[in-house]
Amino acid sequence: MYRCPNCGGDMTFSPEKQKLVCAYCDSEFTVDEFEAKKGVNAEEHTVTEEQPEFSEEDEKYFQATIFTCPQCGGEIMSTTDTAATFCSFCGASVLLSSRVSNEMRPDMIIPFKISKQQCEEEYKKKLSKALFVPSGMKKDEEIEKFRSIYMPYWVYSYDYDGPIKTKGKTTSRRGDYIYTKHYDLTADAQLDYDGISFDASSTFADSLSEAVAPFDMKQADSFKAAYMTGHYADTKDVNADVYESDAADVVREHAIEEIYRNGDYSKYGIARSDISVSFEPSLKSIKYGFFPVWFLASRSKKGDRVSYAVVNGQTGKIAADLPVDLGKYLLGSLLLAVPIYLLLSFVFNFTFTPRIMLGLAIVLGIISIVIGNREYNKVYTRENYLDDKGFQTMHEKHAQKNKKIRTKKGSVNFNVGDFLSGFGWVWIVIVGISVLSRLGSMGFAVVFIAIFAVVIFAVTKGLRGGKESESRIFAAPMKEKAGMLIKPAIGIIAALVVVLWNPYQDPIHYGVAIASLVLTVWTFTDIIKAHNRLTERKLPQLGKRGGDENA
Amino acid sequence: MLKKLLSAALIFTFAFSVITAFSGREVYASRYINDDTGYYVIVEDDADLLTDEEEKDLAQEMKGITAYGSIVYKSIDSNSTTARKYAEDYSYTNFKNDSNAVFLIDMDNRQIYIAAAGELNNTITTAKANTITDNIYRYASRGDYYGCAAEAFKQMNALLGGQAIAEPMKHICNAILALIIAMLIFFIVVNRSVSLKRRSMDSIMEGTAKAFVAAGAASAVFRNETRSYSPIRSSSGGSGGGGGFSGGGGGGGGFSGGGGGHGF
Ligand SMILES: [Zn+2]
Ligand SMILES: [Zn+2]
Repeated sequence: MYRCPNCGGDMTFSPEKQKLVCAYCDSEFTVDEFEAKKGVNAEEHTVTEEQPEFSEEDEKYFQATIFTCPQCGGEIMSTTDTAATFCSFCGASVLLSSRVSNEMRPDMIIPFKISKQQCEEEYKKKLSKALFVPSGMKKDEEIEKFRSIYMPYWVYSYDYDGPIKTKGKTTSRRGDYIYTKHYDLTADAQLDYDGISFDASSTFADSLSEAVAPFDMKQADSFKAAYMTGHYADTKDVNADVYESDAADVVREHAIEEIYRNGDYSKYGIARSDISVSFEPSLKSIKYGFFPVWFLASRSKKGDRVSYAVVNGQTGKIAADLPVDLGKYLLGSLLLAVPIYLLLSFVFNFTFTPRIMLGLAIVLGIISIVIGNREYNKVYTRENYLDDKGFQTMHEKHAQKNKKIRTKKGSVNFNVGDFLSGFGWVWIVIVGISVLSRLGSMGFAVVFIAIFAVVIFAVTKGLRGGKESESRIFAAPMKEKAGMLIKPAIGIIAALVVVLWNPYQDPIHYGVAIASLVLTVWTFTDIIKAHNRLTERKLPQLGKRGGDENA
Repeated sequence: MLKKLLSAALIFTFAFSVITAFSGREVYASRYINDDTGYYVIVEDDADLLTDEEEKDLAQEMKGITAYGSIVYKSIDSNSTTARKYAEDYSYTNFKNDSNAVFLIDMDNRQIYIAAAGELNNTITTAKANTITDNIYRYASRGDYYGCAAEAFKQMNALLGGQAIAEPMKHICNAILALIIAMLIFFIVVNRSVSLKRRSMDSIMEGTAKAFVAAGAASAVFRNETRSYSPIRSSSGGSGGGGGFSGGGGGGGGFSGGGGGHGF
């Protein structure tokens, strides 16, 4: 469809040159030059071939080849009809069936800037830093399957011109009373937001698309099919109204933040949390955009799950599912354990008394519960697509189930594991003090709790990682994680019983400590398995339907 | 020459141990010496809580402990100090800080106390001494002093014998502990490198083509006033106390070990 004007060869939009390049005669054209030339050709085609009467529709649609994966039903489109031999959504190596279709023309496109080579380098860098990645994922023939895909996005624009009402208060002291004056504050504001984007494909998980955001909308161009040559595009299947409220929330939140930062509210003693968001920004437009993403799907060793790697085709920002090879993890841990053991036993010459050992077993058991609970909640959230609004609206079955979860949230969310990980601090301190008061001196107990606090802090900090918060996590029902949580719980209870019983025989202390620690080791293997359920996703089952056609 | 010196040393050692053994017999009421280790069993029932038969049985029970250190049963009727002070003084006077343990029944203070020093203190720690006296004080409350003492020595024996198993178990614990720490470290590393970040407000705004906000100064409309009672306290907040007492100097050697006891 998009042939070289000089020799008729296939043209490719080159991210490095930002030009269309012919693979055969090395001719180069800018997009505008090419569009001008092609325009002439295309007119000839449309006049002679299909739908000459829909000249108006021509503006709204463009012709593309749709490739469909026979295994998962995933669809990608291309402006060439070169056969596609693997699927970028389920990782299957199959010949995709193709058909020609008229697709809705996007309003805007951000062209690819990151070349395949740069993308692969980013990914290899990421892999080299990651530990225990299955060897299969590091193979060159696997990495070569990175595919450049323009992902469909909905781009929302909002404005607002009017009063924004908030509440404020000032306090003063007279005698033994504190007087608080309450005010209604009104400020006139003008807001104008262009380009708040959300991905419009249910196959592109929100967890991944958010991780490679943002795209710089300032570099967007009006859509020209020439940008697509040599690349693919994903088909949209999420309606434009799905993320409307989310976009409005973004506007509200950001505007309030800005107004608060610049505004003259401080003299009224107004706190950020007191600001009630009571304005409705008006939707200016919803535009349909194509944003560039390098996309890789790798099947797990067993072949029943899939890991994704995505690289922002504009900025090079990478997000990847990196599963852990359990065998490698255990071996690596054993190797690291040797110097730690030598350090503990010989260099620092720690002589843990049996009671301290039980205390340590309890602490590590609690840590494993906190981590395990968190991982299982993440798995539950991911596997029920609770973190993916686009997916949910596409699949009513999930949506209904999830609606129930969301509305019942209050009661469903409360369980032992979350109690531990939520109010865990209190719990831990109580158990810690009661146990440690029997372990030895209080001075030691204080030191011990301090060390434990540092460990917990490091763990939670390490888990959250950085400034950006992770996606919202929903609590899994107890029955789904009981099998994992019960192990360390048994260990903790057994150790507590021995601490309180306090038999004089050391072997009983050590024996129970060993049993409890072994249960914790077991829990950590469960945690790694849960981690792999996050990084090796369920195979997609897609029955793509066209998204909203009238944006 | 060397042979002579050696035999002289041998004879001297033998003679010394015989002399000390005999001199000991003059001091103590009932004793046994473990020829292999040179540690004693001493039973001094000053408060006369045991029959002669019971004393013999008790000494039999105590023998096993001499593999690790000297072991003393002592009961007293009157004590001008605490049970602890008495037991520790007794231990230090008789054995200095050589491996020993003193089990004291102090009828004056109605206390039982175990003081241990040297090698024995490594096993019979303060915590263990407390545990054992916790376990046995009820015998003494009932007036079963033999049962009380016998159980104490039985538990000490078990404790010392258990060390043989406990020692390797301790190393196993350390090893598993090290493994868990390693697993935890690696999990944190792995988790950090893969966790998918949710996009922040900053990152959303970075992407937008335009994010314009202009707001005028807020106009305020008074609504109401509330008051809450909050008395001003004259918080004195003085910084308390002067410097602390820093320990007395001097003083010769003394008991350095541990122990624990329980009233009955
Ligand atoms: Zn050419
Ligand atoms: Zn597929």
